[in-house]
Amino acid sequence: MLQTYNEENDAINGLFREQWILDPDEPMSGELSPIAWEGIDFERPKDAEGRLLDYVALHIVNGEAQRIGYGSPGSNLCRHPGIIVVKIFAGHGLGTAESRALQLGDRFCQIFKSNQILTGVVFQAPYIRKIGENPDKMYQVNGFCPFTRDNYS
Amino acid sequence: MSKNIKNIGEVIAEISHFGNVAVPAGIIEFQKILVQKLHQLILTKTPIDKGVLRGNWLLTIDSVDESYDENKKTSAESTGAVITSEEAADVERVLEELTVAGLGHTVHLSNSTHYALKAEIDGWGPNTPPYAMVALSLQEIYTSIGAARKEFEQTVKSLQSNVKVKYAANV
Repeated sequence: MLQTYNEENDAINGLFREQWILDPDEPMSGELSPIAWEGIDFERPKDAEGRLLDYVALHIVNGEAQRIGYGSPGSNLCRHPGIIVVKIFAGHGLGTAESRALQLGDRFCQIFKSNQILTGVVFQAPYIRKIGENPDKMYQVNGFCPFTRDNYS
Repeated sequence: MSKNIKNIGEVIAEISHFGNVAVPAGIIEFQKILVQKLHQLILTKTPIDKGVLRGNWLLTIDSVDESYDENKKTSAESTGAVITSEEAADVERVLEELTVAGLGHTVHLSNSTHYALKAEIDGWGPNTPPYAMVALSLQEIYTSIGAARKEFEQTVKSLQSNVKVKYAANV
C-alpha cells in the first residue's frame, strides 16, 4: 500500500514510463514518445528540419483526502482522490496529427484501464478530451484518469 | 420480546408520515448538502487572476444561466481562498429556493466565461496541469459519500452489537 504522496507519484510515473512503449508485449521496444515529467526541464523533440515531434506531459492532480474508517492508531483508513492527466501533443509524423494524437490517447486509456490496481491505487475509467490544434500547429488531446489511493494512519 | 400495539391506526399514520414527509425531506437535505459542498469545492479550485472566472459561477434551479458578465468578480483574492460572504449568500438563496420548491428539481452550477472549459480541461500552458475544478470536486464528493456510508455502516454495526448486549442482559 502506498503510504505517501511521494510513493504515489513514483508508482504512477513508474507505471506510465514502463508501459508508454511502442510494443506493450516487448519491454525493450523503445518509448512511444518523449515524456515531460512535472518539475523537470524538458526540451520539445524536433526532427532534423526543426519540426516539432510527438510528446506527452504527465501530471497528477490531487484532491482533498477523507478519513474512511476509524480505529486504533495505524488502522485509520484514509482515501486520497486524484486525477492523472496526460497532455498529448502530436506534431510532424506519419498520418494526420489528429489520428496519431487519438491513437496515443487510446494507449493512455489502455494503460490506466479501470480494472487495473496498483498497490492501493484504484483507477477509474480513463477518458480523453480533444483540445485541438495549438498555436505551434500540434494537435492536442488530453487524457484523464480519476483514481483513489487508500492508506492507513 | 414483543411490542404491544395499542392503536394500529397510529402506527399506519407514523409509517405514512415517514414515507410522505420524512423521506422527501431527507432527500432534499441531502441534495442541499451536495449543492453547498460542490459549490465550495469548485469555487475554491477556480484559478483567480482578476477574479472574473470565479465570479461567474452561477447557481440556478431547473435551467442553466448562460449569461456572462466580465465585470462580475469574486472578492476572494487568491486561488483556494475560502468562500466569500457574497458567494455564501448566493448558495443560501438557492438552498432556500430548493426548500420551497421541494423534491424533483435540478440545481445547475454553470460558468459561461469563454475560458472556463480551457481552465477545466487544459490549464494555461502546455506543461501545466488543468485545474479540473469540476472533475476533481466530483472525485472528492464521491470520496466523501464513501466515507459517510462507511461511517453509517459502522454506526449500524455498533448499534447491533449494543442491542445484542441488551438482549443478553434481559435473558
